[in-house]
Amino acid sequence: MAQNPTEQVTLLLSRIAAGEAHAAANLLPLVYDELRNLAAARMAKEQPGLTLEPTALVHEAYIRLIGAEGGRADQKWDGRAHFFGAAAIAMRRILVERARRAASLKRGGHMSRVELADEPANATVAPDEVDMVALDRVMEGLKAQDARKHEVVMLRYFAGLTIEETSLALDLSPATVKNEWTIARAWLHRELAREGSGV
Amino acid sequence: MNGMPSTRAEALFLDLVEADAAARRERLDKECADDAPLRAEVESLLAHHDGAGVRFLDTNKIRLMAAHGNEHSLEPESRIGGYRILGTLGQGGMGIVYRAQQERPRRIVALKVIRRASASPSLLRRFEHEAEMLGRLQHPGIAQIYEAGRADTGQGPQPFIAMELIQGRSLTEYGRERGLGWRERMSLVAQVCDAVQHAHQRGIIHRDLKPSNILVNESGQPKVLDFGVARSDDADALTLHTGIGELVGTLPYMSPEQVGGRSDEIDTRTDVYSLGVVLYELLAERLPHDLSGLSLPEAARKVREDDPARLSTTNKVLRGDVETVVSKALERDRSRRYQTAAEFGADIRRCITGEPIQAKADSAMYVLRKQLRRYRGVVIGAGVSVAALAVFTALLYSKSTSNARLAESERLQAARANILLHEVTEAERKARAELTASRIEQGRLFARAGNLRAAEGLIWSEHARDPEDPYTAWALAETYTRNPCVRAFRAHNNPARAALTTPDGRTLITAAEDDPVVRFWSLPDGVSTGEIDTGSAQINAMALDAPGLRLALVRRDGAAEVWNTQTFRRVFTACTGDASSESVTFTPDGRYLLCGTRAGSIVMLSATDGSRLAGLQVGRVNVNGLVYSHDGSRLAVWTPERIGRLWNGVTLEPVHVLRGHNDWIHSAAFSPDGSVLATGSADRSVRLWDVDTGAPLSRLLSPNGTVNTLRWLEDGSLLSCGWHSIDRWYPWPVHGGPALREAWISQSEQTKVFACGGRGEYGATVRADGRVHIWRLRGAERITEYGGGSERSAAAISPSGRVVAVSDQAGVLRLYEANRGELLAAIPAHKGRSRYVQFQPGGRLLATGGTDRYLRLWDMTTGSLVREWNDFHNISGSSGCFSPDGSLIASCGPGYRFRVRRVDSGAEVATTEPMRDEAISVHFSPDGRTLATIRRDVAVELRRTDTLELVSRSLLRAQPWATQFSPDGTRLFVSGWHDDVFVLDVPSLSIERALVGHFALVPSLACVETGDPRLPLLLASSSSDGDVRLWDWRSGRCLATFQPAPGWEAICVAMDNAGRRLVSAHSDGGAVSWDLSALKRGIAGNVPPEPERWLPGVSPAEGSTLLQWASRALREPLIEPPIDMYDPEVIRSWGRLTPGAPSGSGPPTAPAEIDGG
Repeated sequence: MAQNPTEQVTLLLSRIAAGEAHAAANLLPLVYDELRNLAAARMAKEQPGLTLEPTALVHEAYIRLIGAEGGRADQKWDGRAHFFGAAAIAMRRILVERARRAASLKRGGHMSRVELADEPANATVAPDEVDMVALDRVMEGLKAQDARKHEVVMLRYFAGLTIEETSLALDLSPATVKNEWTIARAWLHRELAREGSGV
Repeated sequence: MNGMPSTRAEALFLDLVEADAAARRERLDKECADDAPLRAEVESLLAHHDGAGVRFLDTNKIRLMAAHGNEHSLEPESRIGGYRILGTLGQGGMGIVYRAQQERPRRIVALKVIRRASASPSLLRRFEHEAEMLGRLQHPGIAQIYEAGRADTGQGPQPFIAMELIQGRSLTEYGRERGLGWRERMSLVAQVCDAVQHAHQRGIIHRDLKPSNILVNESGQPKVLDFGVARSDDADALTLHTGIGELVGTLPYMSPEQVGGRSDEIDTRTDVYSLGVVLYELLAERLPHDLSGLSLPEAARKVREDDPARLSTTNKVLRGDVETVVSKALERDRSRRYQTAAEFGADIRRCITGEPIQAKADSAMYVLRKQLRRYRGVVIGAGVSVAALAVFTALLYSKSTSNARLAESERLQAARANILLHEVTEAERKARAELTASRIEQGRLFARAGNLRAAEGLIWSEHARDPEDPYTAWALAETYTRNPCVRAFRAHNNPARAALTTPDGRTLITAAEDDPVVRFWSLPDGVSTGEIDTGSAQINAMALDAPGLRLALVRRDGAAEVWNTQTFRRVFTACTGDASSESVTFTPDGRYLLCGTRAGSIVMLSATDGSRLAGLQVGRVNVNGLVYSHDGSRLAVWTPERIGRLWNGVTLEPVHVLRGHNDWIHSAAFSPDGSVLATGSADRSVRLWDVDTGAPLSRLLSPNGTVNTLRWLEDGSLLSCGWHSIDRWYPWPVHGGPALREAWISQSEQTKVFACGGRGEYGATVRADGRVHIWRLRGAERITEYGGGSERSAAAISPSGRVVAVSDQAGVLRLYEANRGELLAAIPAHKGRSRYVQFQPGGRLLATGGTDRYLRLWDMTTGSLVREWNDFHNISGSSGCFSPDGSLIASCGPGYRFRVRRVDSGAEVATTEPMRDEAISVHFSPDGRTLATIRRDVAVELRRTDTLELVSRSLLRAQPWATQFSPDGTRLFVSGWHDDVFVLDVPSLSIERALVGHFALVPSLACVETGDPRLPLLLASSSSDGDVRLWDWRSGRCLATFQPAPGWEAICVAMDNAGRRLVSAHSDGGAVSWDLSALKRGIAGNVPPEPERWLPGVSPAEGSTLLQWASRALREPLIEPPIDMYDPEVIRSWGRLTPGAPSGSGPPTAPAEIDGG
C-alpha cells in the first residue's frame, strides 16, 4: 500500500473517470472501510445503538477521503457519482450486517419470547423503522426488475443524496428521479408489508 | 415478489399521487372503467404511498427495526430480575403492568415492564434516571417506586420498574361508595395536596392528575400513582402513546395551558388546576366543564376560554368559601391560582374547620377587576351602548363633584393599589422561593440518581442567584460527597481525544480534537502546570515513556513528535510514512517508538532521533491501540475488530489471536506481573486472557457501555472506565468464578477518555465536551474512618472536636484522634454492649453506660475510672445525659425510673418512683432546669430537674426514642419509630412540624448552632435506613443526606460544638466522621458548569459571583475550635492500645476522687 486511503480514492476516481472499468471494483473496499469505521465510531457514541444517519456518514466519509475541495461545484461530477455509488453499496451492506447481528442476538437468548411464528399476521412497516434484512431482499427484487429505480433508491436512501444530486449522478432529469423515487417508495412499502405478513 | 407496475399504472399513479381522494376516485372511475387489475394496482400503490408516511425510507435517519411486531406479555411464573410474575394488571402506553412477587424483600409489587421496541439506549438511561429520582419520593400519599432497573432476559436488557401495589378504589368511587360528606371529601383532596406538594418541592410535576390516578386504600389514605414515570414533555423523550380515547378521558382534568399545548407554561400550578378539577368533581359529582358530545377542538376551546359552572349551582351548601377555594384553583390564568399545592391544601383545611380562607381577600378584588374588564369589553364591542353612556356619565359626575371628595377617593385608590402591590410582591417572593427550593431538590435527586451534569446545572445556577443560600451550599456538598468528584473544570473547548497520567500520578495530560495544544494539569487539584503547542495538526494519540520524561504524540497527518515533559520542548518530529497514525507506544526500555497507522501498519521509530527503522503490516484497518507488558516481552495490538492480537514484544511476531469479544476492542492492559491481559470492548465486557497460552480466563460484564480504558492497580485490582461509569474489579479466582465489582462512579455523561493516577488514588475522566472531572477512587479526604472493634453501638465527639469516642457490642471503648482516625486508647469499659457514651460539657470526664447495668465516669486526663453506679438501664443512646454545665448526670434506671445525680459527689438530686413503662431516654434543656424524658408509652414528657415532677406530656403516633432541645430552649426535637423527626413547641409540646425523609427508626439526634443567620441551627439525625440527614428545622427541609455506610444502620450521630465535625456510628462496625466545613469549602474546587448550559434566567455575567464566592470560601479561616480538656496527646500517653478483658463488676482502676465538674 503505497498511499493513504485518501490518495488511493482520489487516484481511483480519476482512473474511473479515464475509463478504467476495473478501478471501480477497487473503490468499494476503501469506501466500505471508511464508512464502517465512521459508523462504528457513531455507534460507540450512542452505545451500541440502532440508529444511523447515512447522509451524514456518507458525506463525512466523502470529505475524509476526497477532501472538502472535492465537493466544489466546479469539480466534475463523474468521480463523485462513482464515489456515492460505492458509498451506497457500502452503507447498505453495513446496515444489513448490523440488522442481522441484532436479530441473531435477539433470537439467541434463552429467555426469548419473540418467536417468529407468534408474530401477528397484520404486522406492517412501522413509520420510522425498517426491517433492513427484508429491505435488502426486496431491493434485490427491484434491481432485477427495474435497475434504474434500484439505482435511484440506492443513491437517495443509502447514500443520502438529494433529488438534484441523484439526477446529476445518474444523468437523469430531476423530474424523472422524483417520479422513479415516488413509485419505488410506494412499491417497496408494499413489498415490505407483504414480507411482514409472510406472503 | 410482485412485478413492477405497468407503464400505464405508473403514469396514472404519478398523476394521482398529489390529488385528493375525490379526484383520485373520479379519475380512476374514468380511466379504469374496464380494467379492474389496473385500478387495483394503482389503488394499491396509492394506498402504500399514503401509508408509507414521510419517515419511510427517510434519508436522514435509518432506524433498524428493534423487534418484529408487538411485544408479548410474560407468562405467570416467569421471572424478570428478582421478580416472579403472578398475573397481569393492565397495559399502558409504556408497557405492561404485572402483579409480581419480589424475592427480597418479600412483597407483592406492581411491575411495569417497559416496551423495548421504541426506546433507544440513551433514552432508557434517562428513563431509569427519572425512575430512580422518583424512587426518592417518599410520602405516604405517593405510590412508592421500589426499584428501576434492567433485567438481562437474554434478548438484551429489559427495563422495568417495581412499585407499590395499591389495592383500592379511585378517589371518586371511594367518595361515592362510602357516602362521604363534603368535609371528608375535601379532607381527602387536602391529603392529595400534601403528596403533590412533596413532589413539587422536588421539582417533579405530575401533569396527569385525575381520579383514576388517585387511589384510596382500605385505611382511607389516598395515594397518587404514575408520578411522572413514562412521561416527559420533551420531544425526544419517551412518548406517551396516548390514544384518542385516553385523551378524552384526561381532557377535563387538563389545565388551559396544557390544553393549549403550551408545554413551556406547564409548571406546578398545572397540577393545582387538575387538583381543583378533582375537588370540584368530588364535591359536585360532575365535571366543571361539560365536554360531553364535543369534538376535541371544541372541548379544548371550552376549557381554555370558559369559566366553569359555579359549584353552588349543584349544591347550595357549597356556596361561599368552598366555592371560592375551588374557583381559585380553577383560575384559567395560572398566576391567579393557588401558587402551590400546599396553599391550596391549607385553604381546603381552613374551609373544613371554618377558619377564614386565604383566597377570599384577593379574589374579591379580582372579581371586581374581572367585571371591569368585561365592562371594557362591552364598551369596545358594542360601541356606544347604554352601559358606556352610564360610565361616561358617572365619570363626568365625579369630576364635577367637590375636590375634597376626589382627593378622598384617590387616597383610597392609592391605598388599595399599595395593598395589591404588596400582595403581588409577596406572592412573587413566595413563588421564587418555592421555585428555588424545587430546583435544588431536583438537583439533589439528579445527583443521587447519578446524573451529575444535570445536578450541577441546577444547583450551581441557583447558587449563582444567591451565593449566600445555605441550601445550595449543602446541596453541593452532598452532591460532591456522593459523587466523589474532587475537581471539575474545562480542559479544552473541543471534544477530548486523549488523556494520560504520568507514572508518579501527579500530572494529567490532555489533548482534544482539532486543538494543537496539549495541556498538563496537576492531580488532584486540576491546576494547569503547562502546555505545549504542537502547531496545527490534530493529535490522535499520546504515550509516555516509563519514567514519564518524554511524551510521544502521533498526528493525523502521520507525523510523530516527541516532547520533553519537564522543559515542554520538542525533541523531534518524524514522519511515520504511510498515513494518519492512530496509536503510539514507547518500548519499555524507552529506545523505540511504535506507531500504529490508519493504513494497518506499525512503524518503528528511534525514540532518540525519530529515524524510521522498520515498518510492519498488521492488516487492512487502523491499528487503534498498542500496549507493552511491563517487561517488554509481549505487545498487545488491537484494530477495529473483535479479535485482539498478542505479539512477541521483541521480535514483533504474532503469538496469539484473542477471540471472544462480540464487538470491537477499545482498550487493553497487562496485569502488573504480566501474566494476564485485560481487554475492554464495545460489547460492554472486559475479558481476561492468559498471556502465556492466549486462553480466555474470565469475562467481566460492565453494564455501562463500551469499556474505553483499562488500568491495573498495584493491589491487583482492575479499573475499567466505560461510557457511563468507572468500575473497580477486585482480584478474582483466576480460573472462573465471578469477580467483585465495586463502588462504581456512575455518570450520565458520556466519558470519552479516562486516565488514572499512578497508585490509583485519583482518576480523571474527560467528557466528550472537554470537561475534566477528577475522581477520588479510594479513601476519602474529608472523611475519617475509625477502624477496629466489633459492631459499633455508640459514638461521641469531644466539644472541641479533637477526640472521638466509640463503643462497641463487646463493651470496649475506643478513643481516636478525630482528624486522622488514629487510635489513641482502648478501654474495656463494659461487659456487654454499651449504647451510651458522652463527653462531659466543660469538663474532663467521659460517661459510658452499658447493658451490664453500669453507668461509669472516666477521667480523660488519666484514663481512670472515677465513679460508677450499678443501676443503669441502657436501651437507647440517650439513656444518660450530662447537664449543660456538666455538674449533673441524669439516667434511666431499672425498675423503670429516672434519676438525677451530682457528678462531683455522686449524690442523688431526684428520682422518680418506679413506673409502669420502661425508661428509654433523658435529655437536659439548655438551661438545665428541665428534662425531656421518654418512656415506653409512646409519649414524650417534660420534667423539672430538681424534683423530676411531670410538667407536660405529649402523645406521639409511635414510640419516640431520642430528644434534643434547640439551644434557645423553645423547641424540642423528637425522633423515634415514627420515622419523621418532630419539632415540638416548649413547654406546650404541641407538634409544630414534621421533618419528613427518613423511612426507618431514627435513634439519634444532634444539633449545633452555626452562627449563620440564614441557618442558625443545624440539626442532624441518624436512622436505621442508613442515612445521616442534616435539617433546617424552620423550613422543615432536609439540607443534605449522607450515606457513610450504605446498607448499614446509622445508629448514632454526634457533632462537636463548632459544628465542624459530624460523627456517625454504624452497625457494620464502622464509625466515620465528616469534616463539614471541608465539605463546604471543597465545593469551591469545583468550577461550575459552563454558563451557557445554565438554566434560563442566569446570565453568564452572574458566573463571576460564583468565582467570588469560591475564592472567599477558600480564604475563609477555619473556625477556631474551643479548647477543652480532651487532649489527644494526653490520651495517647496512657499507652492502652489493646483492651484487656472487659471488666466485670469491679472497676479496672480504683475510683479516684474528683473535684467538681
